[in-house]
Amino acid sequence: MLSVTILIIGLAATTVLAVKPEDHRATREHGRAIYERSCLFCHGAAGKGDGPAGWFIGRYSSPRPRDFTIGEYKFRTTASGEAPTDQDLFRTLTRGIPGFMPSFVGLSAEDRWAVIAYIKSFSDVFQQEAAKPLSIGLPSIPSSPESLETGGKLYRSLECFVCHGPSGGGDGPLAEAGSLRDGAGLRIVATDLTNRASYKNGASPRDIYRTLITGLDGTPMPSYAGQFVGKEEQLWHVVNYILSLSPEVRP
Amino acid sequence: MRDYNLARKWIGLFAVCLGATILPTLLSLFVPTQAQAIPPFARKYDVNCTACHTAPPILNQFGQRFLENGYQMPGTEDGGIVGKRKLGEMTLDDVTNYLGFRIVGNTTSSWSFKKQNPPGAAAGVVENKTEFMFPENFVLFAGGTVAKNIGFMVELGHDVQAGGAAVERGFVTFNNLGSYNLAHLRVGKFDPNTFSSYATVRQQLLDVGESTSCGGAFTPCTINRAGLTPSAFATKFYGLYDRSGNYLSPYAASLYNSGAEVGADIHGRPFGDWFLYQVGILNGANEPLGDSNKGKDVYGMIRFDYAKVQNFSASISGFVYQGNSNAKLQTQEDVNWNRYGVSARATYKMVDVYTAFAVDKINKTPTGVAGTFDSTATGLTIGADTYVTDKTLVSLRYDNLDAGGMLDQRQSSSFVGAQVKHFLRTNVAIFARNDVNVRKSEGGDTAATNLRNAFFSGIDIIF
Amino acid sequence: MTIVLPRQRMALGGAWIALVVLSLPAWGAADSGLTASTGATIVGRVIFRGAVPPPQVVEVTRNPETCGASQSIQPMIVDPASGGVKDTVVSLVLQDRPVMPATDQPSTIPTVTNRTCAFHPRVGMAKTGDLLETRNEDPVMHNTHIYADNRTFLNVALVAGGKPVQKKVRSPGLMKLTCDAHTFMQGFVMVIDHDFVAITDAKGSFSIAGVPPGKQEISLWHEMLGALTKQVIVPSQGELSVTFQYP
Repeated sequence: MLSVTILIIGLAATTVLAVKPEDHRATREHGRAIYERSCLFCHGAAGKGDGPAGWFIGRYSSPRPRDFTIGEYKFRTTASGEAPTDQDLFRTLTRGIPGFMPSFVGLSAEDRWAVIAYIKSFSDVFQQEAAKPLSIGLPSIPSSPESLETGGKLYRSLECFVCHGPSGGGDGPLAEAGSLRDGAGLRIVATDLTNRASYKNGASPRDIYRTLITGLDGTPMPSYAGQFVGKEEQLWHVVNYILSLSPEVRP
Repeated sequence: MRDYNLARKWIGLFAVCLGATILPTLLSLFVPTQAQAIPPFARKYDVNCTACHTAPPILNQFGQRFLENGYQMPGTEDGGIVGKRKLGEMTLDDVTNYLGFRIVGNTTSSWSFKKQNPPGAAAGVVENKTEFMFPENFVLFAGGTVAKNIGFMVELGHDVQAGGAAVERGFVTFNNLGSYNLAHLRVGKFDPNTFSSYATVRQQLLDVGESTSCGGAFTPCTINRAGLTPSAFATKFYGLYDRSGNYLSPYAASLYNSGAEVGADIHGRPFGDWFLYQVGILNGANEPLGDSNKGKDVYGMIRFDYAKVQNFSASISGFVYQGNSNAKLQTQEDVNWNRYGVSARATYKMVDVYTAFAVDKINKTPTGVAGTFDSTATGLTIGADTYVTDKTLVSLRYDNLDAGGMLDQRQSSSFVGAQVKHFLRTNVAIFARNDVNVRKSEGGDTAATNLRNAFFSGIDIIF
Repeated sequence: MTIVLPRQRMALGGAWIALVVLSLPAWGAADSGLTASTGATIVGRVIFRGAVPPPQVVEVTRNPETCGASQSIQPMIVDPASGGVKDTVVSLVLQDRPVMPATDQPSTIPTVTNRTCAFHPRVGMAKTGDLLETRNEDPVMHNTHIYADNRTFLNVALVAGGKPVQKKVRSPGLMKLTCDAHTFMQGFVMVIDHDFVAITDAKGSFSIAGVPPGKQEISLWHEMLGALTKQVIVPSQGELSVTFQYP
């Protein structure tokens, strides 16, 4: 069953990548045409996240639409401070961000890749050597009472509760004090872990693991990768514990 | 002998049960939490209201393009694919992704008049008093797409004051005919004005209807208490009637700015985002579907947009509406009632400012009423909204109605309204509002000058 | 006195001329491949004679048992005797970038340490290509968040007793350090892409060796006094003594 899943994921990935056009000027121009019809109302014509519809999304608080000119992205498979991969951008565009950005699955895959080529042109961070995605693998530790206990201990020793609260409700002391700020200085809330549908980076076990090791750049959510060098599988206990904080969501 | 104690017990039990179910629900609305129940488009696309709205129902530039595209993502012809499930060959949404429900209205109204029960006013109507009521309007609406480039919208409304439920709106859209954004066709019962810079239905200060005492067909109603509505959109004339002889309310939105009219229109942005055109034909203002009448009303609108950077957008629109025997006088003769208007809007970060000015003209006035009928009327509305915190919205509106029509009936009016609206959740809000009569210093007992001040509080809940 | 015969004079003169001519390329090569081991040395002091503001009292928002009830921060440390300003970054503004030997081995590992809920050093230096290391010596967790311009360079959780985190610094500029758990913490790392940089000591003194001769532009940066540019004329060798005064 697992191998079939891997095969299907692999096939889907290669199919999607098969329509990925070459990143050259014509692609970027095509991407720009799509961007100016769909994206600029929030992200702004210059990609600075200052489109006319964008302010209302967070109003005085985070989030605001991404400023592509900074080259800093929250949802990645790469290490803290690195640029995202093209696949990361494609995933965000396809899924949307629950609560904030609609899914653009209505655009064809080719169109989505073209938009991504255009978006990358806003920042020179993509002209440096492409960052390697971190290895995530498949969940290696199934949920069990022992795993949840280990996960709970880690949740407390890693001080997750400071922002996310003792039961994950986003009501930890730092969050309640209103002192959490994003990179632009705006007030930001800690994700309510009891509401899986609100996880902006996704709520599958792999998504949660990814959030833990990459951190969400531009927010107070750090990367924990450095603390688990050589013992990465321990993070799956934390993933299991986090999933235990919220009820199952029907797909 | 009747057992009063038993009756009281049953009533008491019923009240307790009612309270036990409704009260916690009501109270939970007052606990600020992150939004859970969210209206249909928000549910379907999994975004908050503010992805498309500045302050619901007012649209931001993204929501505006979504509406123009027949409820498809701007820049796409996606048939609203997000959130759809397949059932055999067809795609069906979850019902909740299509269906929405809104309760909105005043729960308290407090009137203050200069003169109580002035001559001509119905007894008991014109008095300083505070009234409590259930919110006036509830609306059930469904909208979205059935297939690529085919959209629809249906709205069933119940207006407590007007009485009775009605299909307020119902229309089908055929989008992106020819090429992307070249032409979109809308057929059914819709708001003509919804693509202009300032749309009638998207007000923060709700319409408050006037209080009247009416006689039979083709007899004027006496207006006891002025209405509070955007003057630019209003009927403006005193002494007009519909085909059945009902007196047209001078305060009600009409013609191009009407709430819902039967017809067809086409709009598009053929040269790019900066220019929008709209042309349409209506069965005729104030006429039910199927009624034979002498002619159709036609209209055209153009709009220029700037909406690109620095949290700023602006637009200006102008329209012409040509009526064709679309109203009658007391003499039962037809008149052509036309409207020419401009509207504009500018939004910068948290501040949203809009204005509309309309000139209404009756031409072909029969010589019978010459000298007793003012055939020109104008209305000016200027409004602004701003979020002062993430959850509190302050709205202002100035209205000036320079009325026309029968000289012995017409009353011009000017009001300024201010409202504070607080969002307990993104889809549950409470508001408090006060309107002040700017023409206080004018003498006379007319409804327009007699009403000094009105205070309202209410709720706005959208599911 | 040695009597130099006319023919010997001509030979000596020729030898001198040859020596001068042959050494000309060495002079022309002054701006390339230069390292801090040749050239002149700028020795100087950065001073400030104005009023020094009182220390800032920073409220501690978390972990007072480790961080203290409050912290007193004085970013402007001025030596009363000399007027010297500590923690000023002094660097050359190079017009032609020197050719650095390409190497994967970083020459140094500048370190920033979380200690008593403050960054040590408060103002640090790094060169592009260095591995910047952040570590935690406190018994509580710190979330070190480093921004370059307004972009996250690194945002990592450092548990008590955990491993340090290293990341290669790629671009020059000022990096700002903060902690997402202790938002009152502040630090800086100035990243320069060459070797001609120094940071002033408690007396405001600094020394930069191997400076190319001629007109050079010096850039000063202090957390509170800000940025300043000075022009100097550097001799081909020896010491140039300067005093830079912040207005």
